[in-house]
Amino acid sequence: MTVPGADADRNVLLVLHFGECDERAAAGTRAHVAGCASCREYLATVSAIEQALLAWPDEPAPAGILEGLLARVSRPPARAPAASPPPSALPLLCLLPVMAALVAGIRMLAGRLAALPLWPQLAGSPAADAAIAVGAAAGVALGVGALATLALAPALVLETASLAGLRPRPAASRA
Amino acid sequence: MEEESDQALMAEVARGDAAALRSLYLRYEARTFNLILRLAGNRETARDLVQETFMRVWTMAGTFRGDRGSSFKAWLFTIALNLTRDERSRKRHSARHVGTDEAGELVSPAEGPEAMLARSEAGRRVRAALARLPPYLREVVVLKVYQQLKFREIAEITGAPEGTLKARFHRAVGALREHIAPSGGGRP
Repeated sequence: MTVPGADADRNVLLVLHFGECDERAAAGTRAHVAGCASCREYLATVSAIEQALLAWPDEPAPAGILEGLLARVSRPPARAPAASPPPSALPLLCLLPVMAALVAGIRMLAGRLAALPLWPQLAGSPAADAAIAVGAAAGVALGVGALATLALAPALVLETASLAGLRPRPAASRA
Repeated sequence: MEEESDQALMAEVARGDAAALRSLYLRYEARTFNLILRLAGNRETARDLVQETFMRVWTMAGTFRGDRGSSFKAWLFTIALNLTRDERSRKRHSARHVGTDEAGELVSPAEGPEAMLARSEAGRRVRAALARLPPYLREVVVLKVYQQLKFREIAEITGAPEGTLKARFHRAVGALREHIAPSGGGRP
């Protein structure tokens, strides 16, 4: 160790000053410091700063902290929100007349379309055959999708309402 | 009667025993308050943060791992340090500098003789010098000089490596030397 300019050297001096090294290492460092004015100077500076800092003595804690703490601790925890009753599926039943009206409307429209005089003229036309096939497929797909949505609707509504009931409430304000 | 260990008290706190929390508070009140006071520079802030620190002890007692060699003191000081950092960050966002607290109000009107003594010229100079230090240097000085912790313990609390902490202490000594101007100091 030469001068306490390098981090490693300063670190050794600091652990010596604060008594954090073992006795053997401390003896070696002390022997060096005895013959090194620079290291002695550094240690004197550390000691002087330490002493100067102690001019700010410990201050007593203000009264009332413990009382406030115990009051907060003894406060009962915020009550869990009351479980909300499961939502009624009654509104979904209102869809039944709508569905019945839709089915009746579709049947009536199909009957009217079938009575149109243009079908014999279109019979045998390749374009008309293709259009009918695509239209029928699209109709079947839409019908299946609509039925599936209607079948799942009650379950989705119930699940959404259940999750909404479990959402945590905002934390109670602190004292 | 033999005094209960910190670990034993913490086990009781984890079971919801407020009396055990009270014992721990009384055991560490002065050290925690002065730690936060010297870091934050303001008694009112320190008062609030001490209460919040022990509130965290209460609510987080189940996470304390005393059986794995963790020191309660290090755990407590880590909570206090983190809360002080959070508060500093919050104040910075609201455009308040910690140095302004230190320069103005330092001791409450209901101060006792010790606090009056702390108003001495030397004490005021020290407070001002500490307030001028960057927080990461102030932390290591306060934990080392006032709390008399080993660098290993400070590393555990701050999360910084020991070598870094020693380098910071050295830098703090250099900065404080300019502001405190001790009589017997040499050149670092």
